[in-house]
Amino acid sequence: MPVAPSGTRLRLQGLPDITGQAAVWRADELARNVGATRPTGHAALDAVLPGGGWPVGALVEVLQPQAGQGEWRLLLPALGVGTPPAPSGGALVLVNPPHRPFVPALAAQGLDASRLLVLQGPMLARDAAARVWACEQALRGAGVSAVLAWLPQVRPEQLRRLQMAAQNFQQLLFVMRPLAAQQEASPAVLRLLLEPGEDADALTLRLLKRRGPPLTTPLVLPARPERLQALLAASRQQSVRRRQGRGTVLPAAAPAAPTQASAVLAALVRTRVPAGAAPSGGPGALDRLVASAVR
Amino acid sequence: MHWIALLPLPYAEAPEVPGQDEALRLWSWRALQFTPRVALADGVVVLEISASERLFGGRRALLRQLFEQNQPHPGVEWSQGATSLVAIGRLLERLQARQHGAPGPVATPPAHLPLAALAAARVHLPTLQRLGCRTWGDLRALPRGGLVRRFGDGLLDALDQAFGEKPELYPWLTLPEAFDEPLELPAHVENASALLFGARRLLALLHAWLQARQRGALVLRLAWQMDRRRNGPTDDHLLVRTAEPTLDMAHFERLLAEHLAHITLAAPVVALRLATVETAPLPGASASLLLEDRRQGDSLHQLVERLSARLGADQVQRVEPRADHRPERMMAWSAAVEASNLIANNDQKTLGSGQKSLKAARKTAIKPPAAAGSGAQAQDARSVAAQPVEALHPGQPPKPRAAASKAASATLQPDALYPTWLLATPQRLAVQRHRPLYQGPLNLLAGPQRIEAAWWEPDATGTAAAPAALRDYFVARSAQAGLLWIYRERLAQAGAQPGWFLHGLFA
Repeated sequence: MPVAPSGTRLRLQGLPDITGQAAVWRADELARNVGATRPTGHAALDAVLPGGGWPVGALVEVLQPQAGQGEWRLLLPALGVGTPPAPSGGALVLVNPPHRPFVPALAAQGLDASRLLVLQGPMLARDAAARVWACEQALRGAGVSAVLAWLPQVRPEQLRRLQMAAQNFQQLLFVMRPLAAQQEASPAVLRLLLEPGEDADALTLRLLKRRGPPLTTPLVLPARPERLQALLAASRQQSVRRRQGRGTVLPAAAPAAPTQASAVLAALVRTRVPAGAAPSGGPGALDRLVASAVR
Repeated sequence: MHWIALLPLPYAEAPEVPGQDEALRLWSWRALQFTPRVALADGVVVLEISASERLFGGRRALLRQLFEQNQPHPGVEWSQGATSLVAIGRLLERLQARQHGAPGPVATPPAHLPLAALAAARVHLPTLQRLGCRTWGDLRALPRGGLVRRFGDGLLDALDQAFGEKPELYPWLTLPEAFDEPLELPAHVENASALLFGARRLLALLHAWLQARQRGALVLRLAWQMDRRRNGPTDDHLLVRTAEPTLDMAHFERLLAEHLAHITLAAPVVALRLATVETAPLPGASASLLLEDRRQGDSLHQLVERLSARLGADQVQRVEPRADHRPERMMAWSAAVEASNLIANNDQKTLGSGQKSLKAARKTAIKPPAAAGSGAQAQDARSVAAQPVEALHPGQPPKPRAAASKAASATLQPDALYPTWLLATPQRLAVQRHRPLYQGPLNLLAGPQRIEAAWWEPDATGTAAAPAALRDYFVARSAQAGLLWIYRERLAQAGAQPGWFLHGLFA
């Protein structure tokens, strides 16, 4: 049997060339007819997902080593914007989140906090069936734009029910599960593995399952928003400078010649200044912050 | 004149079973949606629709609405005619044929209807049969004078009314002002969940009542009467509320089911009673031409109510930002049932306030340098300079949210330096050689950010001052858990070392 030479595509003998037709899907391409999708907000991720975004009406599984690590970074860009059926952005239902979502920070990243509906409490923390029930009910809601569920223990048939509900009601559904679930079979159309990256400033995202060929190289996403990253970079720069012993201690009240990094720091820290108030002699908290960074 | 006669089938098949007259009431109330001329005659619901045909888009459309829109409807047999007696006669004739297993005739001419189908002739049926009268036409052919002399004038009047020569008048049915209906249960019910079957019948009745009144229910009261022979309470009830006036009985049924699941009955229940406590006029819904605008599924308040009924109201929460310096007070959690209508329709509200926590913004003016780093950072610096000036005196408590949101809406430049997760209660961290530990030693990256607040607030007892929040916040990195937001107490709690606490996670 002749083997197709590597690097060229297998052409079926005697059949017309049907590549490029929408009805035909080759196993080595991304699926095209995947229904509605919503852009993820990460260009690199959009490029490798079938349909160029999160699938609407399907179960998306995110596996994490620890709950509460990086999921907002991954999901927030897509959740912040309203969807066409509910332009103002319907409710965002969180089922059994590991901690309380901190509203000011989420609002800063574009999520309207009044959309949040949080299902959290001792009964949900204890009862796995109640979590799945709550998820399913949330998926049925017409005023719901997305459901985020943290399900540490869930059985495959329960996941399948959720997948069916998401499909019937065309909802965005993200299920966060522990790493141990990686070995189990799952009805999810998209499975992701999210873990902190090598240098801790990035998140590593592996696509375990998608409608398309397997992706071997992991994606790297920024682990935190720009402003926070800038703050950390400034502090790091200061500490490096401090270690090299080149930093000069400045008077706390009025920095005479602020270095670039301390200026960045000062700009990052929100300042509200009374009108006409001259900088007083007393060292304020900001002064201390800048001084400690410079030192 | 055009008359409809109708009879619910379960009732037609077994009229002697108690509680079946409720089906008659149900249908007469449904009919009251379409015409005020509804009556019970000869055990049958009759309604006259010629005056309201045009309003409902023709006779065919009206009938379709009456029979198809009233979901779920048990089987009903109906017929129509120019007079009520003809309609009833055709209905009875069809029911008769049905009992013999034959499909009944659709529209027999009035003269060919059997005499058994005329109520006034039923008592004289044996005599009339011996006279050779079988149909209404036969009876009408008899001399009128002789008929009155022999059978009284009731028969002749009925015959005239049947052929439209005399007007028909009935005691018209009216809808009760308030809905309060009892239901005798056919058997004693010992399980609270089984009460739902009875309640479902009452809900169908309520649906008809609400539809005819064009109102939606807000609060319902389901009461049950228990067996008096047991020594215990004889009456109990529960209230079911919903946020928006609704006609959706399936929603009430689910709510009742959730509530009944929590109830144990002290004694078997013999009777139910359903009443409306509060109703409101139902606003008309504008239908969209576009299919995609109509999303299937429950509305949000239904979802919230169902979740709260099962999980408990305190486990279904929504959040509102507050202006406060303490991170744990920057958001107020409340049960979503009380404010579910607020969620999806607050487009005007500007959120993302609460960024006034950096106590650093006290009295220091820092001019943004001209060459301030890269583009994004320079923009930040400009936005800081462009902010409206807000006096924040020490000793003045933070403003209430209404005032603060105005200031916040002017500068929608929220602060992204906070963690996205906040622990409900700060977690005390172990300390090793002056370094806090959380899944390994922590590396402090940025800080301190000092918070000094709440010293103005009285204690819960109102006497002593509460322990003020005096904290220095740091951003720390853990090798395992990523970026953390931790703080160090500046003053020790009574009898303890000032400790390190984990308060948030950057996710």
